[in-house]
Amino acid sequence: MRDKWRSFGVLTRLTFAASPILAIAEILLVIAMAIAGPLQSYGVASIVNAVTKHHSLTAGTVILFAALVVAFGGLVLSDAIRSRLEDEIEANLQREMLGLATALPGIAHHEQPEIADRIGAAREEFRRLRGTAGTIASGLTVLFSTGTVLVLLASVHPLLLLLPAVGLVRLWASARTAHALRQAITATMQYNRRHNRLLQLAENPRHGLEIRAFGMRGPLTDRLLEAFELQNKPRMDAQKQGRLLELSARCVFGIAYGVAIVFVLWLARHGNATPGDVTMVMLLAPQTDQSAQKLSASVRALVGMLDIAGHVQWLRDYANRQNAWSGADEPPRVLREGIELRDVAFSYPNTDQAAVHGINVLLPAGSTVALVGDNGAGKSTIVKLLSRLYDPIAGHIFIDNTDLRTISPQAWRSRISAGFQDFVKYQYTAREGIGLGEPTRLDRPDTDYNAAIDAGDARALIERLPDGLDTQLGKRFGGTELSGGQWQRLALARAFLREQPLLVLLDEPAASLDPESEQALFDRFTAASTATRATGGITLLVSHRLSTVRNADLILVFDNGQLTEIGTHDELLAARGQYAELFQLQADAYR
Amino acid sequence: MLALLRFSISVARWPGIRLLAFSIAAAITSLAQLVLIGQVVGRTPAFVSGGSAAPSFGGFAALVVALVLVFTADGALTVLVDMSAQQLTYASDLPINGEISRIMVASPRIGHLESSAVADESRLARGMGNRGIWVGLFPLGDLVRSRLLAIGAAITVGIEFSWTVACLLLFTTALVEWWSARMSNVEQGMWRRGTRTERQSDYAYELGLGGAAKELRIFGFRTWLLDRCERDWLAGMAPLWRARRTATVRTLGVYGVHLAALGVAVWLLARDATSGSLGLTALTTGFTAILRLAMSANGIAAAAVERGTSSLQALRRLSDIAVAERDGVSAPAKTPVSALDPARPSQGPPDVRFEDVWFRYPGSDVDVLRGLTLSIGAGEAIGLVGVNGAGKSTLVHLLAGAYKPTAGRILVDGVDLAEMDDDQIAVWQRRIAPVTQDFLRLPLSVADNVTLAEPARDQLLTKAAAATGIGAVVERMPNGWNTMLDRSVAGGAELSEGQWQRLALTRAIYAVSSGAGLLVLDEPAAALDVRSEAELVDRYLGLAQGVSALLISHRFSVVRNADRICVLEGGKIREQGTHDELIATSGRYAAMFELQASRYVTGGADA
Repeated sequence: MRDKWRSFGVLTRLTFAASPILAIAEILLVIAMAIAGPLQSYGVASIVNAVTKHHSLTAGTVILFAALVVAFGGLVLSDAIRSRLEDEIEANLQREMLGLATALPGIAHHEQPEIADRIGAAREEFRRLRGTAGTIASGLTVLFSTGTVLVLLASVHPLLLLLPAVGLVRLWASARTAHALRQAITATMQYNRRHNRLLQLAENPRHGLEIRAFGMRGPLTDRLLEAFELQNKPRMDAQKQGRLLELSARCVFGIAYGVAIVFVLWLARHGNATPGDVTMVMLLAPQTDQSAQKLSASVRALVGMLDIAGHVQWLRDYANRQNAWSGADEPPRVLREGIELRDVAFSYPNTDQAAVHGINVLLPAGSTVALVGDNGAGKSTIVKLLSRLYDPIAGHIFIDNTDLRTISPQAWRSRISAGFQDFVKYQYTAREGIGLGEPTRLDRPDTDYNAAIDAGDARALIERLPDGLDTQLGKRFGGTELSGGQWQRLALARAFLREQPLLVLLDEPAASLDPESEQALFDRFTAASTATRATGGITLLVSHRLSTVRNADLILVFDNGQLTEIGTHDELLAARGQYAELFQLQADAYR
Repeated sequence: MLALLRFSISVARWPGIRLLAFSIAAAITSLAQLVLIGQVVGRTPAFVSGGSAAPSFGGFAALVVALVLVFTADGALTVLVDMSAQQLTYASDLPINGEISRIMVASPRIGHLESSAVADESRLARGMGNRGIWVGLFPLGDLVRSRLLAIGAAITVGIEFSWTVACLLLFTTALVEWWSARMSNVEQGMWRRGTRTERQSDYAYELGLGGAAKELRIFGFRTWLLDRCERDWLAGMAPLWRARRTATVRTLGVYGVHLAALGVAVWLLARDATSGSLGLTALTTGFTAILRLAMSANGIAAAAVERGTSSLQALRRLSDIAVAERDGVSAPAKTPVSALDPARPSQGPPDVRFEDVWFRYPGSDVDVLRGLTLSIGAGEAIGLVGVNGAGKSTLVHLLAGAYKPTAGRILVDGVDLAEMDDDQIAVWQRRIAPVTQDFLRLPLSVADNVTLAEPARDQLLTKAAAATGIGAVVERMPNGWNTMLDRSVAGGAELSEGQWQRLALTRAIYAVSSGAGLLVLDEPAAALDVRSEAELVDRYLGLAQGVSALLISHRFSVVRNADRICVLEGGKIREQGTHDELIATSGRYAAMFELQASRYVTGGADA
């Protein structure tokens, strides 16, 4: 329950933080409209009274018309204000979520399923929070119109206040329905995901052939519809039960209404109420009913939003906890000795298996180091530790005798660079696609990009683009689409943009290239290493193609999270260990 | 509205009829309610004061009882309309989505899957969150009810008071409904489509929340990304906000007209009441009816119904567009999905010939294949090499009849694919066991990933799994072959890239062992490490024994043992022969091979 209140606080703050002026204007309008509704009934009642007593109708007519003006005018204006307010809420949320997620120093939140799922859920659903303003507004509407109704009813007879109280039964019925539905939705979310994924497969031309050749057209569609049914059935049942409850509540209210009318007629018969009062009670009762209906809709919406607000709050808390780990020192300007890993061990959160352990090695300043080994041997983990995307759980990484933990992650990363197998195909201009490798240089002249473009072998590619560096790339925004190899060149240019890095990490950047491109990459890699040597920088290449790494100064062989062999190509071949065996295996293909 | 009503009854008869009946009943009770209120109020003063003019107690009590009953029924019907709307939407979900999926898989050809026209139409038909038509079905009953009520209230005003006022108010109410429906659709349209910059802002957001997790941190472009996201968002919203301001002023104008008409009606009613020409009953009924009428404009529901209708129209167009986008191949008959997949024929390994085949993708002006001639003899294993983007995967799709060549012929056992009808092509496709580069990963069980369409024969499954090495992985899984390959499901598991590849291979091998005659492997080792690749290569030819095979790879280790190797370059076959022959001719193949081999043999002490 405390969480719910906290979430409610989150929602209220969201609305006011987005734009206090709009929020207040919206609330005032909504209150005016809420009072105007019951006032219409009051106006009609005054007219009826005036007619029976042969008084002037002016007062009643004016009240009625004024109430109508407020109701319609308010509707239009509050709609406009609310839409704008909702836009601002969405933007605020987006800003905050993006800010929080990107400020996390590590990437555990992307690699740990349950955290990634929570962030994913928040991301998918937080847009619905833009409805917050509407929900709060309609809640207020009900509050104030009920208040007005109460005042008007009490003016006839206090006992009539029981009528809205009976309306509350519906509210309870609604809240129960909403809760049950929400649970059914959460429980069936997996089927929704499955349905959508199967649908994407069925529609994707890349899978068209397999689906047809394996005779999966029918079975796949069946599974897809089955998932839909698994999703819908519990939701439908939950709603049906709730509606039956509401139906009974409605009937109870109808009887209460009948009793109220008879009661007022009885009052009137005894001279304690006017015909106008009778009219008003008759007109107000449906209004009370409508209020209860609106309130139950608000309650349903609110219950859903509180859940989402809970996700947002959770992310805030998570971000606060995570930001605790960091150092403040600056990295050295030049590497003199190198990077030393001492007894380094790491296992991913929530796994009991060590990804790497007992790693002891010195990567000498100015050297080129290659990491080889099977899939899952621990190569990429080392890359993540060296870039401080994770901290080791045991042991230390020293940068020239300074523990990496004491160096600020941002400062350290501003001195390293990287190219990954899963590089990003930025749907921006070519200039941005390269320039993001050193964002401080994004507005520098074209000539500043030359070295990186050449190092990434992207010269010919850039020259062929219709607007050169300013060409919008990628299909998503209607730009020029590149082939896989061309994207890769761009990614490499990006990795080589940073000047004088202390460490360049190349994690299988050419895994999907053909042999000629692979060879070209190898040459560039060697050239880039030479450039890095000026500051004692280290180039580290991860590959499972042994041909690519043989010229490295130092080759580290990983097996099952352990560093099993260290040496140059010749030394390792001579040692006739695992490296020699793997090299032989690959070389055999070329005999 | 009528189109959706007809559709709802045709697709889900009883929920549709129930919704319509309840809506009409609800309109009647609402109308009866306002008439009865007038009757009761009109008689109240006399009843209250008693005396000779007083209505009989029994008659008055009957009126009150009727009012209470009508009120209760009205409330109950509101819930019932809601309930049947819900049932209708659930009942129509399956037929609607089933139809869209059926259209997508109806043909053995797949040109329509590449078409943006089909994608647009299917997106429109399906709507956001698969709720395209749903959006219109849900408020359908509400709209029927509010429109009937408006007409009924107008008739009441006409009878009790003035037909001119009734017509005037009905007109302005319709005007308000039409206008606000239009505005709501404009707003929804902008919101749904999003302006270009708004989508760019979404993109920045995606990058930050996952897409660029590693690069964002290492390169340090967080601030840039936040700025970019904000800037794009503002640029996207500015025109929307401007449009909304103009719209609000106009909407105020429309409501002004409505209010003016209401003002006239109220004033006329009050004037007649003062002059005594209108009784209390008529006056009360008149006022309640006017208020009911004035409030019955239901722009939001009308807009939603309109959107639902446009989704419905898209669904109806979809099938024809899909057919047109598949090179006008004959329209798929209304075959049920379950009958789409023919059984695998047992015709043994096929003989496939490409004769001077040209191909360009629809809408493109670049020829991917330019006069390609290639043969795969029955039982022959062909290796195909070529640089990235040479058209290797396109060739596979043409071979399977998924696309038609722009020119030239593709013969299967002597029969031209272009002369086969859809059913024959579907049968031909069943003879192929492909592993494509972007192989299929079904979020279903491990077993389903292999044998979804086949009667699962455990022995064959175990054998195929052993051949690719996935068997050992499956044995370690919590539920074995029944483990769901979906991490978000309780007890589900996720496979690594290499394991998925082995699973895709298992699927193809299973198909071969149950009768498929042509094995097609497109980059089968891309995600495997050195050791696994070597193991796989050893097994390849064993797997391909007795069937025709097409092995595509840029790794020579994979193709070198094929019966014949073809080099694809510039859209045609440049060279072909056995490995040794090609090396001896010192052509493209030899050059590429030498390049890779040199990395292993030159300069090494062990070489």
